[in-house]
Amino acid sequence: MKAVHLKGVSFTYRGSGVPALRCLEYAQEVGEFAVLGGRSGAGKSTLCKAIMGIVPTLQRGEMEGEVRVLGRKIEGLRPFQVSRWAGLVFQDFEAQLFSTSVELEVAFGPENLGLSRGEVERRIRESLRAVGLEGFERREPWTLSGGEKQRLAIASVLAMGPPVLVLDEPTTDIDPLGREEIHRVVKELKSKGHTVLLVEHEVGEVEDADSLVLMSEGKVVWKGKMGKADSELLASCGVRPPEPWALAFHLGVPPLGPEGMASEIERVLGGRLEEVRRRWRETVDEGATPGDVVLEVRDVEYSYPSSQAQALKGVSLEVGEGEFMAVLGPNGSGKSTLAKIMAGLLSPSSGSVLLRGRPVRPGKVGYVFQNPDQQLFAPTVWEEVAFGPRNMGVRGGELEDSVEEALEAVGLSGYKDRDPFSLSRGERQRLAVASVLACSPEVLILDEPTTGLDYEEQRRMMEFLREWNLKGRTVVLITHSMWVAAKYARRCALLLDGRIVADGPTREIFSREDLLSLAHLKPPFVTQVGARLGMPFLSLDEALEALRN
Amino acid sequence: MFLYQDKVSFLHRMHPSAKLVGLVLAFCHPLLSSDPLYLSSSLGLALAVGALGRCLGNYLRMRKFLIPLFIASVLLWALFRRVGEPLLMLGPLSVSSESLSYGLAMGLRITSLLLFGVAFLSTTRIEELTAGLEAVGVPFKAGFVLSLAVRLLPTFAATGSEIVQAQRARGHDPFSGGPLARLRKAVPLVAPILLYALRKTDQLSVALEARGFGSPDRRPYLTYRFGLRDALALGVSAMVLVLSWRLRP
Ligand SMILES: Nc1ncnc2c1ncn2[C@@H]1O[C@H](COP(=O)(O)OP(=O)(O)OP(=O)(O)O)[C@@H](O)[C@H]1O
Ligand SMILES: [Mg+2]
Repeated sequence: MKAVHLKGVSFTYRGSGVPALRCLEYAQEVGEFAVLGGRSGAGKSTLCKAIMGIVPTLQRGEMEGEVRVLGRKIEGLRPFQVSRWAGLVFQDFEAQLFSTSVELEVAFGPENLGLSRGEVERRIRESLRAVGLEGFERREPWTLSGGEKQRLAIASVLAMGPPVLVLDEPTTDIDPLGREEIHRVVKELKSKGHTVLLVEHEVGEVEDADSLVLMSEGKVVWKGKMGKADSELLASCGVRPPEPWALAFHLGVPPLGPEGMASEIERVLGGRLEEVRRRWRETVDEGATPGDVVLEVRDVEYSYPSSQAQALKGVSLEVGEGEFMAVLGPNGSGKSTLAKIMAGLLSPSSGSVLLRGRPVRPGKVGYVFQNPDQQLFAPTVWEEVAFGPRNMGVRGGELEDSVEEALEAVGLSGYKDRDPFSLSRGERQRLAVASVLACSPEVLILDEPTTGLDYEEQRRMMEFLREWNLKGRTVVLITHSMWVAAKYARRCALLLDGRIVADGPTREIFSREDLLSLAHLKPPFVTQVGARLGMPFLSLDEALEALRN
Repeated sequence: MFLYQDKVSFLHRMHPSAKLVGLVLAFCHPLLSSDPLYLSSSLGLALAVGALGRCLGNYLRMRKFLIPLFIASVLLWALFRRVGEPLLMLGPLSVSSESLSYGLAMGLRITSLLLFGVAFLSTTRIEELTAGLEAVGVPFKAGFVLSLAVRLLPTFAATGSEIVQAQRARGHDPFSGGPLARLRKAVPLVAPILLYALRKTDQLSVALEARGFGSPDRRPYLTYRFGLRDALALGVSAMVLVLSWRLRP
């Protein structure tokens, strides 16, 4: 008996011309831990929903083929009946929270399973501990930070202890050590006999899964042992090849941990190491020194009205003209709060924020929200982008020009008359950026602009920001993606529990693993390897360039 | 629920069904008479209940809304109710001592009714209200669906404020200008909030079922025992009500 078995499943959402699944074949053994990757739009979420019977029962459309979970046919069952055997953590975690306290949110599933009060209490305790939310029991879910909400969404499904657990990109907003922790919990479940299907863009973070599944255009195009897939195959499915694999492949060595890889490289290079190091040092470009201070944060403290705890406890920061800066830190450390204060959207409880020496006002500093959907509302792409400049009194030909320019910059020129909500997530994100760019902000702040995007979309977004920055514009980026920060940011500030604990050039910060782990972060693999060789690389390309011969 | 305060008090600890019945009894009190003096005692009771629920702070928070409402109802009834000898003539309108006392009574009545409501909401989670309704015979599913609107309010409010912030970041200032200008400026807000609400309710029905909502095996996590406290509270409420009814002017 298979845990999950789909035979020739095709599905087309009602009102959509294109099938989301096309004659899909998929089988997973009981107790198998599989990781599923693929481009956005490949049908991953639809596959997850088909396993729960959500399509076609609750989200209607044309369905063909057969879905079985633990041998039972799903057809004709309601999702609540399926929920005894299978649990799903949805990609959109905000949408699955509806209770007035963290405790009751987690209790909801076990209640429906008819468990005793004592058992429900135990499960609440355990699943909150598993996701690192102990002590949050009485908090109201809507007051949690983005990552805390996502952790809660995971806990609420873990508490049901489903034999088949499906997680649809469950860690997009969680800090790096938190992600490791969640992956550890998932592996523990597997070792207890649960079947796990995990949708994940960063397949390298779950290297010890049993199998890797790749989807493309509504089909499963590859399933096999983790590590058997080569970089080319991954890239063709829009998945970022894990750095250890790529590095090993290019250097012709077996994939090893950072220590092993560093000593392997040392062995291969032998006497030439010194030479390589010298040449690398000549090529690394630490970037132009920043110009005058544009944005200055002075001793800022902030508490949310609904809570006694301070979200920011005295933060000072100077952003120079033309900088590309990343703000990093664990979930709930105050990054989004700081960003909103820097943009003048929240007023600090004490301290001040100055833009070129004057108090900042909303509209002067561009701010791109994490969720583009809260930013978009106009009937057409053009109108959406024109909203900001119009508010600032720009009219006529000048308006046309600034809209045109902003759309051009993000590569959406041909989309002027489209409905913003008909765009893909990646395109919506770029539209959100364009709509802020059109206001010609002095500084652009982006809160996690790459979450929910696949590798290609992430690269596009970041390459665009890099280009914009190279024209002398200032960018402040909040992200949980270490490779993004390492590769693109010139400077990093670490926020921990409402305070800045480190601030400096990216290479310097990223070579200090102890400091990073204090802030729940972890440098990318290539940086870890490089640091052991005295050359903390910031990207795979840089490493390959230095080690080419 | 945005009024709910997570504290420990006599009212917080009561059985939700007992609290519901108590609320109905409390609502009866200001309806028994239209005498301002009697209705002052209703207001006094509302304050006492507030102290029992440690929610006088919430009463205070509501003053911006309650005081204008009180004044408006006194004025309206005093001006428009035509009884007794006019004391004062204002064109077609007149005020008599009777209409003034009636206006005062109505102001007191509406204020005490609202305060009883605030006390209930400040001490009862929406989940408890659902459990209370279930205990007095309302089916769980119906009670839950009713509660959803209230549950989602804070989330909608939070999203609304995110959307306002996103628009302010693009130079939109919804809080400036006269009332008409403000109304016009609210237009770009409406679409994203409505869209969000639609999407959210749509996804929510799916998320609920995926966590087993609708299962006949459900066993509530929040359980309550009808205790001495509840008997006492209901007994005293009933006594006060009966006495007030007998003694009312
Ligand atoms: N609306 C709110 N009401 C009360 N507390 C809040 C609110 N929003 C955030 N907080 C709290 O303030 C602190 C900082 O939150 P913030 O959203 O700035 O964190 P963050 O660093 O952006 O986290 P994440 O990485 O998860 O997005 C957290 O402890 C959070 O729980
Ligand atoms: Mg955040």
